[in-house]
Amino acid sequence: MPKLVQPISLYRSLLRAAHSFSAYNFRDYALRRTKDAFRANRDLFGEARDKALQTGANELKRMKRQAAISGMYQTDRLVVEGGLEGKDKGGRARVKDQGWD
Amino acid sequence: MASYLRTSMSAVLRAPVRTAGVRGVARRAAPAASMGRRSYVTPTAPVKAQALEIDTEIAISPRAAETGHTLVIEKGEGNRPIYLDAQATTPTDPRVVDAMLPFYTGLYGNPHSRTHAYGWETDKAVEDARSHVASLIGADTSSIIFTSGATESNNMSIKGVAKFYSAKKKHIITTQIEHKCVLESCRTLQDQGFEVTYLKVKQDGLIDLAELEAAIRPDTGLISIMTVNNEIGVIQPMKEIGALCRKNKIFFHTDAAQAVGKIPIDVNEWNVDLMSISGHKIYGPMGVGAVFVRRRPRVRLEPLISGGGQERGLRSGTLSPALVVGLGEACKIAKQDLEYDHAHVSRLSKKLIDGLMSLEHVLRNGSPEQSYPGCVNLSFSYVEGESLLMALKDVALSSGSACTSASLEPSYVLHSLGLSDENAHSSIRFGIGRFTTDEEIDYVIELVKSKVNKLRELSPLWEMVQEGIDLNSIEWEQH
Repeated sequence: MPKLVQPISLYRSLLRAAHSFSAYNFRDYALRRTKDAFRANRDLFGEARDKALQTGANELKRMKRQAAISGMYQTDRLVVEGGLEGKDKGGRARVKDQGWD
Repeated sequence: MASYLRTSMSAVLRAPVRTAGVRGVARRAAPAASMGRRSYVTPTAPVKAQALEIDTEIAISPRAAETGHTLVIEKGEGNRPIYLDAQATTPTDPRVVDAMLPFYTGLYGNPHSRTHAYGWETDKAVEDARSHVASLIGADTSSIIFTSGATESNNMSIKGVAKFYSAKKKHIITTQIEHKCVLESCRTLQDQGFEVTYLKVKQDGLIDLAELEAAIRPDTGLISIMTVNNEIGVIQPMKEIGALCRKNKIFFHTDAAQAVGKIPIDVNEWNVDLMSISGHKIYGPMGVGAVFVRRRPRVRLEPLISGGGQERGLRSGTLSPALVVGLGEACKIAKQDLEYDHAHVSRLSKKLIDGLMSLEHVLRNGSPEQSYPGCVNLSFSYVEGESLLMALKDVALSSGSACTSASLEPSYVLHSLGLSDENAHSSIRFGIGRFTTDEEIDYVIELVKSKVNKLRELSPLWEMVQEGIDLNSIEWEQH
Protein backbone atom coordinates (compact mmCIF):
# COMPACT_ATOMS: atom_id res chain seq x y z
CA MET A 1 0.00 0.00 0.00
CA PRO A 2 1.82 3.17 -1.13
CA LYS A 3 2.17 5.85 1.50
CA LEU A 4 -0.28 8.70 0.94
CA VAL A 5 1.43 12.05 0.56
CA GLN A 6 -0.66 14.99 1.67
CA PRO A 7 -0.21 18.05 -0.55
CA ILE A 8 -0.27 20.54 2.32
CA SER A 9 2.42 18.82 4.34
CA LEU A 10 4.51 18.31 1.21
CA TYR A 11 4.13 21.99 0.37
CA ARG A 12 5.20 23.06 3.85
CA SER A 13 8.19 20.71 3.83
CA LEU A 14 9.28 21.99 0.42
CA LEU A 15 9.04 25.60 1.55
CA ARG A 16 10.99 24.83 4.71
CA ALA A 17 13.71 23.12 2.69
CA ALA A 18 13.76 26.01 0.21
CA HIS A 19 14.26 28.51 3.03
CA SER A 20 17.31 26.61 4.21
CA PHE A 21 19.31 27.29 1.02
CA SER A 22 22.22 29.49 1.87
CA ALA A 23 22.56 31.02 -1.60
CA TYR A 24 20.18 33.90 -2.27
CA ASN A 25 19.39 33.08 -5.91
CA PHE A 26 18.77 29.38 -5.33
CA ARG A 27 16.64 30.10 -2.27
CA ASP A 28 14.46 32.54 -4.16
CA TYR A 29 14.13 30.20 -7.14
CA ALA A 30 13.21 27.20 -4.97
CA LEU A 31 10.49 29.19 -3.19
CA ARG A 32 9.10 30.65 -6.37
CA ARG A 33 9.18 27.39 -8.31
CA THR A 34 7.48 25.45 -5.49
CA LYS A 35 4.69 27.99 -5.15
CA ASP A 36 4.13 28.20 -8.89
CA ALA A 37 4.18 24.43 -9.35
CA PHE A 38 1.60 23.87 -6.61
CA ARG A 39 -0.55 26.68 -7.98
CA ALA A 40 -0.43 25.23 -11.50
CA ASN A 41 -1.23 21.69 -10.35
CA ARG A 42 -3.98 22.73 -7.96
CA ASP A 43 -6.82 21.22 -9.98
CA LEU A 44 -5.25 17.87 -10.77
CA PHE A 45 -6.87 14.69 -9.52
CA GLY A 46 -6.45 10.96 -9.89
CA GLU A 47 -3.31 9.48 -11.41
CA ALA A 48 -1.91 12.82 -12.56
CA ARG A 49 -2.21 14.13 -9.02
CA ASP A 50 -0.40 11.14 -7.55
CA LYS A 51 2.34 11.47 -10.13
CA ALA A 52 2.75 15.17 -9.35
CA LEU A 53 2.90 14.45 -5.63
CA GLN A 54 5.51 11.77 -6.22
CA THR A 55 7.58 14.25 -8.26
CA GLY A 56 7.22 16.70 -5.40
CA ALA A 57 8.44 14.13 -2.88
CA ASN A 58 11.51 13.39 -5.01
CA GLU A 59 12.20 17.10 -5.38
CA LEU A 60 12.00 17.44 -1.61
CA LYS A 61 14.75 14.86 -1.14
CA ARG A 62 16.90 16.59 -3.77
CA MET A 63 16.32 19.98 -2.23
CA LYS A 64 17.29 18.82 1.25
CA ARG A 65 20.56 17.37 -0.02
CA GLN A 66 21.41 20.44 -2.04
CA ALA A 67 20.45 22.85 0.71
CA ALA A 68 22.85 21.02 3.01
CA ILE A 69 25.64 21.32 0.42
CA SER A 70 24.77 24.98 -0.12
CA GLY A 71 25.34 25.49 3.58
CA MET A 72 28.72 23.74 3.46
CA TYR A 73 30.13 25.93 0.71
CA GLN A 74 28.92 29.42 1.47
CA THR A 75 29.87 32.69 -0.12
CA ASP A 76 29.37 36.27 0.98
CA ARG A 77 25.96 37.79 0.91
CA LEU A 78 24.76 39.59 -2.21
CA VAL A 79 24.42 43.38 -2.18
CA VAL A 80 20.68 43.05 -2.56
CA GLU A 81 20.12 40.62 0.31
CA GLY A 82 18.34 42.29 3.16
CA GLY A 83 19.26 45.57 1.50
CA LEU A 84 15.89 46.86 0.41
CA GLU A 85 13.95 45.42 3.33
CA GLY A 86 16.37 46.54 5.98
CA LYS A 87 18.88 44.76 8.16
CA ASP A 88 19.05 41.03 7.66
CA LYS A 89 17.51 39.46 10.74
CA GLY A 90 20.19 36.80 11.00
CA GLY A 91 19.04 33.32 11.81
CA ARG A 92 21.32 32.03 9.10
CA ALA A 93 24.75 31.29 10.46
CA ARG A 94 27.42 32.36 8.03
CA VAL A 95 30.55 30.27 8.17
CA LYS A 96 33.50 31.33 6.05
CA ASP A 97 36.28 28.96 6.97
CA GLN A 98 36.79 27.92 3.39
CA GLY A 99 37.04 29.44 -0.02
CA TRP A 100 37.63 32.89 -1.30
CA ASP A 101 38.03 35.76 1.11
CA MET B 1 17.86 52.24 -3.20
CA ALA B 2 16.91 55.32 -1.15
CA SER B 3 15.39 53.22 1.61
CA TYR B 4 18.59 51.18 1.67
CA LEU B 5 20.54 54.35 2.35
CA ARG B 6 18.09 55.51 4.94
CA THR B 7 18.34 52.34 6.99
CA SER B 8 22.10 52.57 6.90
CA MET B 9 22.00 56.20 7.95
CA SER B 10 19.70 55.52 10.88
CA ALA B 11 22.08 52.80 11.96
CA VAL B 12 24.86 55.37 11.95
CA LEU B 13 22.94 57.61 14.27
CA ARG B 14 22.04 54.74 16.56
CA ALA B 15 25.40 53.16 17.10
CA PRO B 16 28.54 55.02 18.13
CA VAL B 17 30.61 55.67 15.06
CA ARG B 18 34.20 54.80 15.52
CA THR B 19 35.86 54.90 12.18
CA ALA B 20 38.19 52.22 11.06
CA GLY B 21 41.88 52.59 11.34
CA VAL B 22 42.86 55.28 8.86
CA ARG B 23 43.80 57.63 11.63
CA GLY B 24 45.60 55.44 14.08
CA VAL B 25 47.54 53.14 11.83
CA ALA B 26 51.10 52.70 12.93
CA ARG B 27 53.44 54.08 10.38
CA ARG B 28 56.23 51.83 9.36
CA ALA B 29 59.61 52.99 10.53
CA ALA B 30 61.50 54.44 7.60
CA PRO B 31 64.49 52.26 6.70
CA ALA B 32 66.75 55.30 6.63
CA ALA B 33 66.05 56.02 10.29
CA SER B 34 67.07 52.53 11.29
CA MET B 35 70.36 53.06 9.50
CA GLY B 36 70.96 56.11 11.66
CA ARG B 37 70.47 58.74 8.99
CA ARG B 38 68.12 61.65 9.51
CA SER B 39 64.90 61.55 7.50
CA TYR B 40 61.66 63.46 7.30
CA VAL B 41 59.58 60.57 8.43
CA THR B 42 59.89 59.45 12.02
CA PRO B 43 58.22 56.46 13.51
CA THR B 44 55.11 57.16 15.52
CA ALA B 45 55.38 56.87 19.26
CA PRO B 46 54.02 53.45 20.32
CA VAL B 47 51.28 55.05 22.43
CA LYS B 48 49.62 56.61 19.40
CA ALA B 49 50.34 53.76 17.01
CA GLN B 50 47.31 51.58 17.67
CA ALA B 51 44.61 50.73 15.23
CA LEU B 52 41.37 51.80 16.76
CA GLU B 53 38.84 49.17 17.61
CA ILE B 54 36.25 48.88 14.85
CA ASP B 55 32.75 48.79 16.16
CA THR B 56 31.32 45.48 15.18
CA GLU B 57 28.06 46.97 13.95
CA ILE B 58 29.42 49.25 11.29
CA ALA B 59 32.13 49.22 8.65
CA ILE B 60 33.03 51.71 5.97
CA SER B 61 32.17 50.38 2.58
CA PRO B 62 35.30 49.13 0.81
CA ARG B 63 34.05 50.97 -2.24
CA ALA B 64 34.04 54.31 -0.41
CA ALA B 65 37.48 55.26 -1.67
CA GLU B 66 36.63 54.58 -5.30
CA THR B 67 33.24 56.13 -5.52
CA GLY B 68 33.87 59.08 -3.28
CA HIS B 69 30.75 58.28 -1.30
CA THR B 70 31.20 57.69 2.39
CA LEU B 71 28.48 55.13 2.33
CA VAL B 72 28.45 53.54 5.72
CA ILE B 73 27.06 50.05 5.46
CA GLU B 74 26.00 47.84 8.26
CA LYS B 75 28.22 44.85 8.86
CA GLY B 76 26.23 41.89 7.67
CA GLU B 77 25.26 43.63 4.45
CA GLY B 78 26.65 41.77 1.49
CA ASN B 79 29.22 42.99 -0.92
CA ARG B 80 28.93 40.26 -3.49
CA PRO B 81 27.67 41.69 -6.81
CA ILE B 82 24.35 40.81 -8.40
CA TYR B 83 24.91 38.40 -11.26
CA LEU B 84 23.55 39.69 -14.55
CA ASP B 85 25.95 38.06 -17.02
CA ALA B 86 23.95 35.01 -18.05
CA GLN B 87 25.46 34.99 -21.56
CA ALA B 88 28.96 34.52 -20.17
CA THR B 89 27.96 31.61 -17.97
CA THR B 90 25.10 30.51 -15.76
CA PRO B 91 25.13 29.16 -12.20
CA THR B 92 25.05 25.37 -12.08
CA ASP B 93 21.53 24.39 -11.04
CA PRO B 94 21.55 22.52 -7.69
CA ARG B 95 19.50 19.75 -9.31
CA VAL B 96 22.28 19.31 -11.88
CA VAL B 97 24.91 19.15 -9.12
CA ASP B 98 22.79 16.55 -7.38
CA ALA B 99 22.71 14.42 -10.52
CA MET B 100 26.48 14.73 -10.98
CA LEU B 101 27.68 13.95 -7.45
CA PRO B 102 27.12 10.16 -7.51
CA PHE B 103 29.63 10.00 -10.37
CA TYR B 104 32.24 11.75 -8.31
CA THR B 105 31.67 9.50 -5.31
CA GLY B 106 30.64 5.90 -5.86
CA LEU B 107 29.92 5.42 -9.55
CA TYR B 108 33.40 5.95 -10.89
CA GLY B 109 33.59 3.42 -13.70
CA ASN B 110 34.75 4.18 -17.22
CA PRO B 111 31.66 4.17 -19.44
CA HIS B 112 33.62 2.44 -22.21
CA SER B 113 34.51 -0.57 -20.04
CA ARG B 114 32.27 -3.27 -21.39
CA THR B 115 33.23 -6.08 -19.03
CA HIS B 116 31.97 -5.11 -15.59
CA ALA B 117 29.13 -3.44 -13.73
CA TYR B 118 31.05 -0.24 -13.03
CA GLY B 119 31.27 0.38 -16.75
CA TRP B 120 27.72 -0.70 -17.50
CA GLU B 121 26.14 1.60 -14.94
CA THR B 122 28.04 4.69 -16.10
CA ASP B 123 27.38 3.75 -19.70
CA LYS B 124 23.67 3.60 -18.99
CA ALA B 125 23.81 7.01 -17.35
CA VAL B 126 25.66 8.45 -20.36
CA GLU B 127 23.09 7.03 -22.78
CA ASP B 128 20.22 8.40 -20.68
CA ALA B 129 21.86 11.81 -20.75
CA ARG B 130 22.25 11.54 -24.52
CA SER B 131 18.54 10.91 -24.92
CA HIS B 132 17.72 13.94 -22.74
CA VAL B 133 19.90 16.19 -24.90
CA ALA B 134 18.41 14.75 -28.09
CA SER B 135 14.80 15.19 -26.99
CA LEU B 136 15.42 18.84 -26.12
CA ILE B 137 16.31 19.64 -29.74
CA GLY B 138 14.01 17.12 -31.42
CA ALA B 139 16.81 14.88 -32.68
CA ASP B 140 17.60 11.16 -32.74
CA THR B 141 19.58 9.93 -29.74
CA SER B 142 22.35 8.49 -31.89
CA SER B 143 23.06 11.81 -33.57
CA ILE B 144 24.34 13.50 -30.39
CA ILE B 145 28.11 13.53 -29.80
CA PHE B 146 29.51 14.79 -26.51
CA THR B 147 32.43 17.20 -26.63
CA SER B 148 34.27 19.52 -24.28
CA GLY B 149 32.13 22.53 -25.09
CA ALA B 150 30.60 24.60 -27.84
CA THR B 151 34.01 25.84 -29.01
CA GLU B 152 35.11 22.27 -29.73
CA SER B 153 31.74 21.51 -31.32
CA ASN B 154 32.05 24.53 -33.60
CA ASN B 155 35.61 23.68 -34.59
CA MET B 156 34.67 20.05 -35.19
CA SER B 157 31.65 20.88 -37.34
CA ILE B 158 33.17 23.59 -39.50
CA LYS B 159 36.63 22.15 -40.02
CA GLY B 160 35.37 18.57 -40.18
CA VAL B 161 32.72 19.13 -42.83
CA ALA B 162 34.90 21.48 -44.87
CA LYS B 163 37.80 19.04 -44.98
CA PHE B 164 35.69 15.97 -45.73
CA TYR B 165 33.99 17.54 -48.74
CA SER B 166 36.94 19.69 -49.78
CA ALA B 167 37.35 17.96 -53.15
CA LYS B 168 34.29 19.58 -54.68
CA LYS B 169 33.09 22.13 -52.09
CA LYS B 170 35.49 24.94 -51.40
CA HIS B 171 33.22 27.77 -50.26
CA ILE B 172 31.80 28.54 -46.82
CA ILE B 173 29.30 31.24 -45.88
CA THR B 174 29.06 32.70 -42.38
CA THR B 175 28.17 36.03 -40.79
CA GLN B 176 30.17 38.86 -39.27
CA ILE B 177 28.53 38.53 -35.88
CA GLU B 178 29.46 34.91 -35.21
CA HIS B 179 31.28 33.80 -32.09
CA LYS B 180 35.05 34.11 -32.18
CA CYS B 181 35.58 30.33 -32.44
CA VAL B 182 33.54 30.17 -35.64
CA LEU B 183 35.33 33.14 -37.16
CA GLU B 184 38.74 31.76 -36.22
CA SER B 185 37.90 28.32 -37.62
CA CYS B 186 36.88 29.95 -40.89
CA ARG B 187 40.07 31.97 -40.91
CA THR B 188 42.26 28.89 -40.51
CA LEU B 189 40.32 27.24 -43.34
CA GLN B 190 41.01 30.29 -45.48
CA ASP B 191 44.71 29.78 -44.79
CA GLN B 192 44.26 26.21 -46.02
CA GLY B 193 42.77 27.25 -49.34
CA PHE B 194 39.04 27.59 -48.71
CA GLU B 195 37.03 30.69 -49.59
CA VAL B 196 34.81 32.24 -46.95
CA THR B 197 32.08 34.85 -47.35
CA TYR B 198 31.33 36.84 -44.19
CA LEU B 199 27.79 38.16 -44.58
CA LYS B 200 26.96 41.60 -43.28
CA VAL B 201 23.99 42.01 -40.97
CA LYS B 202 21.30 44.66 -41.06
CA GLN B 203 21.16 47.36 -38.43
CA ASP B 204 18.91 45.27 -36.24
CA GLY B 205 21.35 42.36 -36.27
CA LEU B 206 19.41 40.03 -38.56
CA ILE B 207 20.84 38.72 -41.80
CA ASP B 208 19.30 39.60 -45.13
CA LEU B 209 17.95 36.41 -46.73
CA ALA B 210 18.26 37.87 -50.22
CA GLU B 211 21.93 38.60 -49.57
CA LEU B 212 22.43 35.05 -48.30
CA GLU B 213 20.82 33.60 -51.40
CA ALA B 214 22.96 35.80 -53.62
CA ALA B 215 26.11 34.63 -51.86
CA ILE B 216 25.44 30.94 -52.53
CA ARG B 217 27.68 29.46 -55.22
CA PRO B 218 27.72 26.00 -56.83
CA ASP B 219 30.74 25.06 -54.73
CA THR B 220 29.30 26.20 -51.37
CA GLY B 221 29.59 23.33 -48.91
CA LEU B 222 28.59 24.81 -45.56
CA ILE B 223 26.60 27.71 -44.15
CA SER B 224 27.17 28.57 -40.48
CA ILE B 225 24.83 31.04 -38.78
CA MET B 226 24.32 31.26 -35.03
CA THR B 227 20.77 30.95 -33.70
CA VAL B 228 20.88 33.45 -30.85
CA ASN B 229 23.69 35.97 -30.73
CA ASN B 230 25.52 36.10 -27.44
CA GLU B 231 26.05 39.88 -27.43
CA ILE B 232 22.78 41.32 -28.68
CA GLY B 233 20.41 38.37 -28.35
CA VAL B 234 18.90 38.44 -31.84
CA ILE B 235 17.29 35.26 -33.14
CA GLN B 236 18.02 34.62 -36.80
CA PRO B 237 15.28 33.37 -39.16
CA MET B 238 16.32 29.72 -38.80
CA LYS B 239 13.44 28.09 -40.63
CA GLU B 240 13.94 30.20 -43.78
CA ILE B 241 17.71 29.71 -43.77
CA GLY B 242 17.27 25.97 -43.29
CA ALA B 243 14.83 25.76 -46.18
CA LEU B 244 17.27 27.67 -48.38
CA CYS B 245 20.12 25.32 -47.47
CA ARG B 246 18.07 22.21 -48.08
CA LYS B 247 16.95 23.53 -51.46
CA ASN B 248 20.56 24.12 -52.52
CA LYS B 249 21.87 20.93 -50.84
CA ILE B 250 24.24 22.83 -48.56
CA PHE B 251 25.03 21.72 -45.01
CA PHE B 252 23.58 24.04 -42.38
CA HIS B 253 25.54 24.43 -39.16
CA THR B 254 24.33 26.59 -36.29
CA ASP B 255 25.97 27.59 -33.03
CA ALA B 256 22.98 27.21 -30.71
CA ALA B 257 24.88 27.62 -27.44
CA GLN B 258 22.73 30.58 -26.34
CA ALA B 259 19.51 29.17 -27.78
CA VAL B 260 19.27 25.62 -26.45
CA GLY B 261 16.84 25.35 -23.56
CA LYS B 262 15.79 28.97 -23.96
CA ILE B 263 13.72 28.96 -27.16
CA PRO B 264 11.96 25.94 -28.69
CA ILE B 265 14.28 24.16 -31.13
CA ASP B 266 13.42 21.47 -33.65
CA VAL B 267 16.29 20.39 -35.87
CA ASN B 268 13.94 18.71 -38.34
CA GLU B 269 11.67 21.73 -38.69
CA TRP B 270 14.69 23.97 -39.18
CA ASN B 271 16.54 21.54 -41.49
CA VAL B 272 19.67 21.89 -39.39
CA ASP B 273 22.49 19.44 -40.11
CA LEU B 274 24.93 20.39 -37.35
CA MET B 275 24.23 22.13 -34.07
CA SER B 276 26.59 23.11 -31.23
CA ILE B 277 25.41 22.91 -27.65
CA SER B 278 27.15 24.30 -24.57
CA GLY B 279 26.70 22.93 -21.06
CA HIS B 280 27.43 25.97 -18.95
CA LYS B 281 24.99 28.23 -20.78
CA ILE B 282 21.98 26.14 -19.71
CA TYR B 283 22.73 25.83 -16.00
CA GLY B 284 24.91 22.78 -16.52
CA PRO B 285 28.57 22.20 -15.70
CA MET B 286 31.45 23.91 -17.47
CA GLY B 287 33.71 21.79 -19.65
CA VAL B 288 31.07 19.82 -21.49
CA GLY B 289 29.06 20.38 -24.63
CA ALA B 290 27.52 18.43 -27.44
CA VAL B 291 27.15 18.53 -31.18
CA PHE B 292 24.20 17.29 -33.19
CA VAL B 293 25.43 15.57 -36.36
CA ARG B 294 22.54 14.55 -38.57
CA ARG B 295 22.34 10.89 -39.56
CA ARG B 296 19.54 11.02 -42.12
CA PRO B 297 20.70 12.34 -44.62
CA ARG B 298 24.14 11.49 -43.29
CA VAL B 299 26.62 14.27 -42.59
CA ARG B 300 30.19 13.07 -42.80
CA LEU B 301 33.01 14.85 -41.08
CA GLU B 302 36.71 14.44 -40.54
CA PRO B 303 37.26 14.04 -36.82
CA LEU B 304 39.37 16.57 -34.99
CA ILE B 305 40.55 14.15 -32.30
CA SER B 306 41.79 10.68 -33.19
CA GLY B 307 41.90 7.80 -30.77
CA GLY B 308 39.90 4.79 -29.64
CA GLY B 309 36.88 5.50 -31.82
CA GLN B 310 34.44 6.58 -29.11
CA GLU B 311 31.38 8.66 -30.05
CA ARG B 312 30.99 7.02 -33.49
CA GLY B 313 34.65 7.73 -34.22
CA LEU B 314 33.93 11.44 -34.44
CA ARG B 315 35.27 12.35 -30.99
CA SER B 316 37.57 9.88 -29.32
CA GLY B 317 38.37 10.08 -25.65
CA THR B 318 36.90 8.84 -22.39
CA LEU B 319 33.68 10.62 -21.54
CA SER B 320 33.32 12.05 -18.08
CA PRO B 321 30.09 10.51 -16.79
CA ALA B 322 29.64 13.28 -14.25
CA LEU B 323 29.88 16.08 -16.82
CA VAL B 324 27.78 14.27 -19.37
CA VAL B 325 25.09 13.42 -16.83
CA GLY B 326 25.17 17.06 -15.72
CA LEU B 327 24.53 18.20 -19.27
CA GLY B 328 21.75 15.63 -19.64
CA GLU B 329 20.07 16.72 -16.44
CA ALA B 330 20.36 20.39 -17.44
CA CYS B 331 18.69 19.60 -20.76
CA LYS B 332 15.95 17.59 -19.02
CA ILE B 333 15.17 20.46 -16.64
CA ALA B 334 15.30 22.95 -19.52
CA LYS B 335 12.80 20.90 -21.52
CA GLN B 336 10.39 20.67 -18.55
CA ASP B 337 10.68 24.32 -17.60
CA LEU B 338 11.09 25.99 -20.99
CA GLU B 339 7.82 27.97 -20.95
CA TYR B 340 8.08 28.72 -17.25
CA ASP B 341 11.61 30.09 -17.52
CA HIS B 342 10.77 31.98 -20.68
CA ALA B 343 7.80 33.66 -18.99
CA HIS B 344 9.92 34.59 -15.98
CA VAL B 345 12.80 35.95 -18.05
CA SER B 346 10.45 37.89 -20.35
CA ARG B 347 8.71 39.51 -17.41
CA LEU B 348 11.98 40.61 -15.80
CA SER B 349 13.37 41.71 -19.14
CA LYS B 350 10.34 43.90 -19.86
CA LYS B 351 10.63 45.45 -16.41
CA LEU B 352 14.32 46.17 -16.93
CA ILE B 353 13.89 47.63 -20.41
CA ASP B 354 10.91 49.79 -19.43
CA GLY B 355 12.82 51.03 -16.39
CA LEU B 356 16.04 51.84 -18.22
CA MET B 357 14.66 53.16 -21.48
CA SER B 358 12.69 55.76 -19.54
CA LEU B 359 16.03 57.60 -19.46
CA GLU B 360 16.77 59.76 -22.49
CA HIS B 361 19.23 58.78 -25.22
CA VAL B 362 19.28 55.07 -24.49
CA LEU B 363 19.45 52.78 -27.52
CA ARG B 364 18.61 49.12 -27.62
CA ASN B 365 21.03 47.16 -29.81
CA GLY B 366 19.46 44.42 -31.86
CA SER B 367 15.95 43.88 -33.09
CA PRO B 368 13.50 44.15 -30.17
CA GLU B 369 10.98 41.71 -31.68
CA GLN B 370 13.31 39.00 -32.96
CA SER B 371 15.43 38.59 -29.89
CA TYR B 372 15.74 36.47 -26.80
CA PRO B 373 14.48 38.57 -23.85
CA GLY B 374 17.20 37.37 -21.52
CA CYS B 375 19.90 39.26 -23.43
CA VAL B 376 19.44 43.02 -23.30
CA ASN B 377 22.15 45.19 -24.81
CA LEU B 378 21.71 48.91 -24.22
CA SER B 379 23.87 51.87 -25.22
CA PHE B 380 23.80 54.85 -22.88
CA SER B 381 24.86 57.83 -24.99
CA TYR B 382 27.09 60.55 -23.58
CA VAL B 383 28.33 58.27 -20.83
CA GLU B 384 31.82 56.84 -20.96
CA GLY B 385 31.60 53.06 -20.93
CA GLU B 386 34.45 52.20 -18.60
CA SER B 387 33.38 54.74 -16.00
CA LEU B 388 29.84 53.41 -16.15
CA LEU B 389 31.09 49.87 -15.57
CA MET B 390 33.20 51.05 -12.64
CA ALA B 391 30.22 52.85 -11.17
CA LEU B 392 28.16 49.67 -11.47
CA LYS B 393 30.49 47.62 -9.32
CA ASP B 394 27.53 46.20 -7.42
CA VAL B 395 26.37 44.34 -10.52
CA ALA B 396 28.29 41.76 -12.52
CA LEU B 397 27.85 42.92 -16.10
CA SER B 398 29.55 42.79 -19.43
CA SER B 399 30.23 45.71 -21.70
CA GLY B 400 30.66 46.32 -25.40
CA SER B 401 34.42 46.16 -25.38
CA ALA B 402 35.55 43.88 -22.61
CA CYS B 403 33.86 40.81 -24.04
CA THR B 404 36.18 39.87 -26.80
CA SER B 405 39.58 41.23 -25.96
CA ALA B 406 41.66 42.69 -23.21
CA SER B 407 42.24 45.78 -25.32
CA LEU B 408 39.81 48.65 -25.47
CA GLU B 409 38.69 47.81 -28.96
CA PRO B 410 34.93 48.03 -29.23
CA SER B 411 33.10 44.79 -29.87
CA TYR B 412 33.07 43.65 -33.50
CA VAL B 413 29.42 42.65 -33.16
CA LEU B 414 28.35 46.17 -32.23
CA HIS B 415 30.54 47.52 -35.00
CA SER B 416 28.75 45.32 -37.52
CA LEU B 417 25.46 46.84 -36.40
CA GLY B 418 26.79 50.21 -37.46
CA LEU B 419 27.24 51.63 -33.98
CA SER B 420 29.71 54.50 -33.62
CA ASP B 421 32.79 53.93 -31.47
CA GLU B 422 31.45 56.00 -28.58
CA ASN B 423 28.13 54.17 -28.50
CA ALA B 424 29.86 50.81 -28.77
CA HIS B 425 31.99 51.71 -25.77
CA SER B 426 28.96 52.83 -23.74
CA SER B 427 26.96 49.68 -24.25
CA ILE B 428 26.17 47.32 -21.44
CA ARG B 429 24.82 43.80 -21.79
CA PHE B 430 22.34 42.66 -19.14
CA GLY B 431 21.91 38.89 -18.97
CA ILE B 432 18.80 37.68 -17.17
CA GLY B 433 18.44 34.03 -16.27
CA ARG B 434 16.34 31.50 -14.41
CA PHE B 435 17.73 32.52 -11.03
CA THR B 436 17.44 36.29 -11.42
CA THR B 437 14.98 37.84 -8.96
CA ASP B 438 12.64 40.83 -8.99
CA GLU B 439 14.59 42.53 -6.19
CA GLU B 440 17.81 42.28 -8.21
CA ILE B 441 16.17 43.88 -11.24
CA ASP B 442 14.69 46.67 -9.09
CA TYR B 443 18.08 47.31 -7.51
CA VAL B 444 19.79 47.38 -10.92
CA ILE B 445 17.25 49.78 -12.42
CA GLU B 446 17.66 52.25 -9.55
CA LEU B 447 21.45 51.94 -9.56
CA VAL B 448 21.87 52.34 -13.33
CA LYS B 449 19.51 55.32 -13.45
CA SER B 450 21.31 57.12 -10.64
CA LYS B 451 24.81 56.39 -11.99
CA VAL B 452 23.97 57.32 -15.57
CA ASN B 453 22.41 60.60 -14.45
CA LYS B 454 25.36 61.35 -12.21
CA LEU B 455 27.89 60.63 -14.99
CA ARG B 456 25.90 62.65 -17.49
CA GLU B 457 25.86 65.62 -15.14
CA LEU B 458 29.64 65.52 -15.13
CA SER B 459 29.82 65.43 -18.91
CA PRO B 460 30.26 68.67 -20.90
CA LEU B 461 29.01 66.90 -24.02
CA TRP B 462 25.75 66.24 -22.23
CA GLU B 463 25.44 69.92 -21.35
CA MET B 464 25.81 70.78 -25.03
CA VAL B 465 23.23 68.21 -26.02
CA GLN B 466 20.80 69.59 -23.45
CA GLU B 467 21.25 73.04 -24.94
CA GLY B 468 20.36 71.63 -28.31
CA ILE B 469 23.78 71.87 -29.97
CA ASP B 470 24.38 69.28 -32.65
CA LEU B 471 27.65 67.62 -31.70
CA ASN B 472 28.50 66.77 -35.30
CA SER B 473 28.49 70.43 -36.20
CA ILE B 474 31.18 71.37 -33.69
CA GLU B 475 34.63 72.09 -35.02
CA TRP B 476 36.96 70.91 -32.31
CA GLU B 477 40.03 73.03 -31.83
CA GLN B 478 43.25 71.40 -32.87
CA HIS B 479 46.06 71.74 -30.33
